[in-house]
Amino acid sequence: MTRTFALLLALCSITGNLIAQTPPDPLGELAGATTRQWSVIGATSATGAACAAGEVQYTFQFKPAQVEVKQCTGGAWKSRTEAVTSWAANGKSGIAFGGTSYEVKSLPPNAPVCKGNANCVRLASVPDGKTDATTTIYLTR
Amino acid sequence: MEEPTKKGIDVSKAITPLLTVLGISVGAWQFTSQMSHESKMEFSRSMYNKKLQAFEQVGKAVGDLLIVPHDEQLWISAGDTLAFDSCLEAFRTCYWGVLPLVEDKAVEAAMIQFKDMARFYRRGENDYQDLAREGMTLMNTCNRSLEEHWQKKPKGE
Repeated sequence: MTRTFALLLALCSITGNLIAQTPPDPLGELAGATTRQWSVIGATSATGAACAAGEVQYTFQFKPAQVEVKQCTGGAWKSRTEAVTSWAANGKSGIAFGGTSYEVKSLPPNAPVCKGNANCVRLASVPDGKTDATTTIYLTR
Repeated sequence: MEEPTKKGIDVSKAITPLLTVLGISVGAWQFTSQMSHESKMEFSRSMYNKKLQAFEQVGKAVGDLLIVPHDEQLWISAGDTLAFDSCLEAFRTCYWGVLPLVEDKAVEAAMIQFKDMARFYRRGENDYQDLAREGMTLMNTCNRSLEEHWQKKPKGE
């Protein structure tokens, strides 16, 4: 009985370790359980208020997997919705929307680019073979 | 009674030059095809050597970048930034100056990702392990590209 209990305990411990080592789901990181709104670091105006050209806000939704992209054009927010898919290749994973694949990484608040924001995430585009340029988006919520 | 023998001689007289011409043609075709194969192999061999030299330069640039942080510390220190920037410049020289002639799509993507990771490491967003992993991925991709060089058939074959 004691041996069976010890064996069960060992199995639970191994399973727990394996779960703990699994990298976080990139979409889950951005959408949480339902939805989360993110804005590009440095953007100041709130939704509904007059915005500055170039400002972008992203609202990620877990189910169905999609993102609402609000872009400021001509002083007003213009919104579009894109489907989000997950990808994994060569030991890496991430999300893809709007024809671009991104790697998602949570950054520590003390990273200079986070400017002290506690919730700081980086979306780094993956080379698509068409252009040498990659895009990096820093988001906070 | 002499007619059939004469006819037989005439036919053999006609066939002999034809066979000679055919033999010469086949020989010439074989020679040309062999020469063409040889020149393709020679071109492929010289491209392989160029590729190998270019990848060696990339390997050196990657290695130089990875040994800048002393004792492989996790985050870049202020004292290492100058040397790191200089090595990153050397890597970018390889990227723009040496590789475009020989690289394939996979190597190009791996180089872009290493370049981005070096930037992220420099800005304190990623640690040394991420940079080293990306460097290893790049060198493995170069290695695979060299292996595949002999496996793929030249265009038109």
